[in-house]
Amino acid sequence: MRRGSAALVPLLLAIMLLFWFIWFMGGESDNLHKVNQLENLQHTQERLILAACRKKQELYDANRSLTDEQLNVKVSQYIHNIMILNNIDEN
Amino acid sequence: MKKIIVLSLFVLTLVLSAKTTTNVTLQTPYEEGQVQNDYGDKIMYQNVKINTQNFKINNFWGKFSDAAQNQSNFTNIATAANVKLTIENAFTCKDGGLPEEGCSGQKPFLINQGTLGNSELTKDAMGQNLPAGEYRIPFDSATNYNSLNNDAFYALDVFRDGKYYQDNNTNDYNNAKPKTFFGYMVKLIKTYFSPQNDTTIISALTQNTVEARNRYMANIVFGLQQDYRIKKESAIDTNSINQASATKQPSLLDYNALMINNTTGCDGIFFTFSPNSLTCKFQNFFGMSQWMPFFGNDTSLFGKDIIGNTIQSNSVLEDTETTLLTLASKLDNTNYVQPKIDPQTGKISLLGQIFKPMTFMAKSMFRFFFGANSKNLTEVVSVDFNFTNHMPLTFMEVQNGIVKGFKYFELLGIESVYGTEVQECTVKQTKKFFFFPIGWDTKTFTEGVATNTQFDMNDGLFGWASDSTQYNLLNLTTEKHWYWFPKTTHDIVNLSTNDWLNWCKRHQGKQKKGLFGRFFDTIGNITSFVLYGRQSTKDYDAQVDKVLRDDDWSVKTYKEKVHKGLILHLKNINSSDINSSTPGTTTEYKVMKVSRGNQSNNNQNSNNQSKGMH
Repeated sequence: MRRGSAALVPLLLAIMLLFWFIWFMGGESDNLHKVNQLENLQHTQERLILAACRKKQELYDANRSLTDEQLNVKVSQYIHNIMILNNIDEN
Repeated sequence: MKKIIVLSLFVLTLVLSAKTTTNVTLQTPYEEGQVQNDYGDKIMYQNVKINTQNFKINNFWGKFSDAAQNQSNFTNIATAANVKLTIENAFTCKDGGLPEEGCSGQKPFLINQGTLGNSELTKDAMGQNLPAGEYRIPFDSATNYNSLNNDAFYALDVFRDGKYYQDNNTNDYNNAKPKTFFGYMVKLIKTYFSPQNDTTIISALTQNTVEARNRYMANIVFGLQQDYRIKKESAIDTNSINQASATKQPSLLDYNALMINNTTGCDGIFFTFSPNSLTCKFQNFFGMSQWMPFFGNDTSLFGKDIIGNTIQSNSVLEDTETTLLTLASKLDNTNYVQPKIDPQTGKISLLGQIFKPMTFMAKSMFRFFFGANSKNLTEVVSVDFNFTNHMPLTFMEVQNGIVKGFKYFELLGIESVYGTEVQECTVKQTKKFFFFPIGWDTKTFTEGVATNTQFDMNDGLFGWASDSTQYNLLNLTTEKHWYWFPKTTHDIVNLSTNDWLNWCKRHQGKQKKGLFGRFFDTIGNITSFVLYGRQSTKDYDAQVDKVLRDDDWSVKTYKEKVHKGLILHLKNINSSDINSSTPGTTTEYKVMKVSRGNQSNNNQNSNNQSKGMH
């Protein structure tokens, strides 16, 4: 027993270290995680910029009587739908 | 108090449960600084902002850690960008089946600097001033090119990789989306010009010229290939012709530029590359060949009479016209060449209704349509196609072989110009003795060979005078002889070669109404006129007619030349009038500058970068 209990010390230390690490990472990675989600959203937004431009042109070519405002509303709707598909916007 | 708590809770719930939504703000494109790139494409900018509201981030680690929050709520996360728009006049690229590098906004046309300052080009076919900014610029062949010419546009031979225009006999045009230029072009022609007929391509030129021709037409349809676009301040070889394939340098282009064909006794037939391939059966086909150069089939719009004949048309002028017309048809989704059947005669007049007399032609136009030596043009008519969508064209503006800039035009219409020139006329006189014909006298008049034929107006029995008011407008001299009794002074009418030729034109039997008269039979009067030479007046003609009729003259043979010209009706547009909504343009988008911003409603320290946003 005595020999065995001596061997438990580093094991317990290791377990404590692991818990500390979990605690430590919990706090830190929360920030990392948040940044990542934000980054993802922003990358999505960036990619959609050209799609929005093209969509507006496409809508205009299809129906030249639409006003700029109407076109913008339609483009917004289109991007909103894409965001829904990407699980970002809520329906 | 209880109410306030309930209300607060309600508001709080609302705030927290606000839906995530995204909206877009698109600014109208605007110009900034440089509005043309080196290739003459219009450059614009547009600010775009995509904003996502009420974005929530669930933090997984928040469940285990006090330091982390369960959720972060952002009121706004926005990405804003400045987008560069490159607007090219390349509307057929999208569905032309060509990869992007095969097309651009430049067209293979050249004008010299100063052309737009030429006031003769701002007049319409009747000589009236066109609205501001509009021009009628005729096509001139490369052989006439001079760096000082300010009255025409010229075709350019610009290199293009074979894969963008060569047809390897694949019948590519049968595909829904042809892969080669030819497949596309043939499909266009099939669709817009002869929907009920099959179309074949005929080559009658030498291989090199065929290549140059194919390249040229591909360059018109798709614009120059990206890699071989012409840059500002670059050189164009204006001293040589069809050199693109050898040197890859743009040069002038020419193949069989001005087609002239004698139409003796067979009016209305308009040349082909090989005149022998046409017969008089094609009379009604006049006007058709220009719009259907690839037309070569057994059945036609005109029935089965013309079996086995083909029409070929291989000239820069013809190809320019056909290609532009096909393109405009494509843009407008309209077939501009519709056969019309006259209900009374049942005759099909293809373009009859749209032929118009042309009374004004700039002097230079005359020169290069009809050659420096052609002076006795008897008749000019034009057919004008007006387009619904004004196709954009970018021309190279050149000074001394250097591209100085690019001119944007809208193609308002194409004018096909036809003129007839009298060549030669043989006339005969029936000699009579007491009303019985006893013999003939013939004379031949050739354009450019001056003659004078005298008619004694007082040679009747006893010198009975004709009524002098019936010939007083003509070139009169008097002659005196003592042996003329009783009247010793006689009026002598002098008719020149031109008088005879004009008379021939009016009295040439079947061709009485001239080459174009027949087309107007069904639509009424047509003014015929003489360019360069004496303007014929009705009275003058009537008096010539009377003199010659009284003397029993008639036309034996009559020979004339048909000439063709092409005028583009263009509107010069400022680059400020071009934007991504201009019909016929393609816009390329490129993100230039991105800025981001976000705002969190539960974290005041979040980085707010909205400064950079527009």
